Amino acid sequence: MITALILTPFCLGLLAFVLRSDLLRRWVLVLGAAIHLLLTGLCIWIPPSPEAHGWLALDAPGTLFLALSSTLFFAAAIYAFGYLRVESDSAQHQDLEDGFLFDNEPEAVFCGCLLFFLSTMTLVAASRHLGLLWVAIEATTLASAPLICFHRHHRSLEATWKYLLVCSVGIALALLGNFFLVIALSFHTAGSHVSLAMADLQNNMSGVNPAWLKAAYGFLVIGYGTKMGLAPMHTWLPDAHSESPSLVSALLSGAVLSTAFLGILRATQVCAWGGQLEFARPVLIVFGSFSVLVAAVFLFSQSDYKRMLAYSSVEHMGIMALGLGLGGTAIAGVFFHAINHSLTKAALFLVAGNILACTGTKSSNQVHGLLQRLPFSGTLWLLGFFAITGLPPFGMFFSKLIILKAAVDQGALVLAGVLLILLAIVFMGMTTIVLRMCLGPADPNRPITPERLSSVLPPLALLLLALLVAWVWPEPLRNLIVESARLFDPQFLPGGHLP
Amino acid sequence: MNELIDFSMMGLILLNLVLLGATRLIHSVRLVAIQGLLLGLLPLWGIADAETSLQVRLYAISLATLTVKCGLFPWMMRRIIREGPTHREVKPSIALPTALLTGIIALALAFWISHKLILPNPRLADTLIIPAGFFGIFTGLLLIVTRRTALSQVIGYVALENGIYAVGVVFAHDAPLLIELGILLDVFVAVFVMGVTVFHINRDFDHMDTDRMTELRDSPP
Repeated sequence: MITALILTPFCLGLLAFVLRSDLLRRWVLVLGAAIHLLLTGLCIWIPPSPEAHGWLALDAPGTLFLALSSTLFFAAAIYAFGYLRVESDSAQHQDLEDGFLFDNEPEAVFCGCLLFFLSTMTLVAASRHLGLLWVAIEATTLASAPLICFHRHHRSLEATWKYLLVCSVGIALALLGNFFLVIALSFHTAGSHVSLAMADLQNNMSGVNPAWLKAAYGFLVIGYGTKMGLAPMHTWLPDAHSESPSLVSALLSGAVLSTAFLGILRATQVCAWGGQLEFARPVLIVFGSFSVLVAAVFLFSQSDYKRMLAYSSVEHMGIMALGLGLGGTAIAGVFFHAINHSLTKAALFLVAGNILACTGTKSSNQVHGLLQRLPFSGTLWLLGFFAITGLPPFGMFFSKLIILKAAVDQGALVLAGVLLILLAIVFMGMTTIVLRMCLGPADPNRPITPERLSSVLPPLALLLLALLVAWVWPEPLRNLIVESARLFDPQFLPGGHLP
Repeated sequence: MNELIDFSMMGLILLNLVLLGATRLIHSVRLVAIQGLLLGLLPLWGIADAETSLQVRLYAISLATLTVKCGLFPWMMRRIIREGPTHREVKPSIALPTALLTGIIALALAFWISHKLILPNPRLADTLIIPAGFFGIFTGLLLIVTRRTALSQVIGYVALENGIYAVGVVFAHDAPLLIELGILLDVFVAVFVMGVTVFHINRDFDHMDTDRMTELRDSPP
């Protein structure tokens, strides 16, 4: 079952590479996304049995992030269908801002890499072996790098280069973390085989060498934190998100960052089994708060609305790391936050793509009167903004509240206060940008192409889903969150903490 | 066996020091290729006293490492150099003597760290594995940060990866073959994708100078 989930998109990706017809290839992409979504649904319904010596299995957080990736990918594939049709109208394209001409990457490479990307993300979610997890996370970087430079020009190449180099170096350091973990384990298993499978680690962590375990954890957090976009290793993130096609930004922000978080989550689990949770917590809290701080500073004077969304991702990843560091009741909040962030941010990036396609600029200073000129995208942009800054009735309000409440309950009043102030700054920064774009009279001199229905429906569906999740609480989802929280706090009880 | 491991590690350290002072790209490529050779032979030291199933695994790892690090990488990078406009590193952002001096300080730091982290296996505790690994990481980072040519940065990444791999390969007894090969495959694809990107940078910019890639930043409103 899990093997099928990984191999189906991989094989369809190979197919996309060799197909000649563009139209057929787009259908393959949508078909791959639909099959994957169906199989994922089946996995939630009937939990699949572990495969490959228990290296591939879906536990609660894995299933949760798999479901998120699959949903986002389906929305992105539908969006891609219309997007690629428009893009393939002419061989040469004019840059919307600087006016130079450029070629697109061959569509076969783009569709093929998208499907490989889905396959590698599934592998990350299903990995129950730290070595395999490393291989999978590095593979997501490599499969997504060609997606960023779909428009082949100097800016997208610059972004791809930074993404490749910074993430590869970061993830290489995570590899050292894995090796150090092996060394830490070989202290008490003298001579016998050391296994990095999660199932073995759970039983073998007593008597592990603390110094090596701490070093291992540090390298793992720095490595996977680079991929997750934690400051100060986030430098690739705004560039990659602003230069790639919007559907790729949506996947990077919604799915990749979350899967990298899964890497940190696994490392923290191992650290906790080794009795070093008290070492891990401050590390996560420092990285988390610093990320929120950096995001707040850069959001405040942002003039590029796609970069604004990218920094907002840094902020939310910071909040998630912080919540994981706080532990206890905050853990459930973190998973809830991840769901809300993925759905909302992906919707926002897709809408940003519409705005860019229709107005032809990424500068928020040159876009006005969106509500009037692009009624659907404008409305979605405003609603998405409400959702991402955590205004009720959207779910992010509750998840932020849970994490803040956990901080207050633990007596970390200074931390909670600083976090509140930073969140307020982020809110003000984003309000200025978004309201200026949505309201006011439209510039009559700027030509605007009308929006397409196929580009409005996917973000609308994602936003509705985010709202639905926050208010209806489907039973399987609730169980997944409760089980995930119990990984860290066996006594965790649902109700009270969750809305 | 320890003498052979130490010999390899000394080789890695010296090659990294030379790498810090090298300016001709083809020369740097040769240096990391020799590192690949040392790493590829590393699993074979002490293979005689291993059991048969382990021996097979170690031979496989050795062969795969040699193919990727000593064969494919140099071949790909040579092609990029041959077809590209740049053959030597132009104006690194710190002067070469300064880079070498920084390298020596980094080496001292690597040895200091190795005193804090002592290997469990008493047989390996007094070898140079940990300092050589850390020095490889420092060299790689230094090259990536200070060199401006895209290919030099790829070489920096390979040097960093070689350092990390040196730590891993010694513990190859403990890691499953599949994971070892997966790691090699990933690193190979990483360098391949980087190579393709460098190729496009060459074509679009007509140079490999990443210093001129400065358009993406946070501009004031």
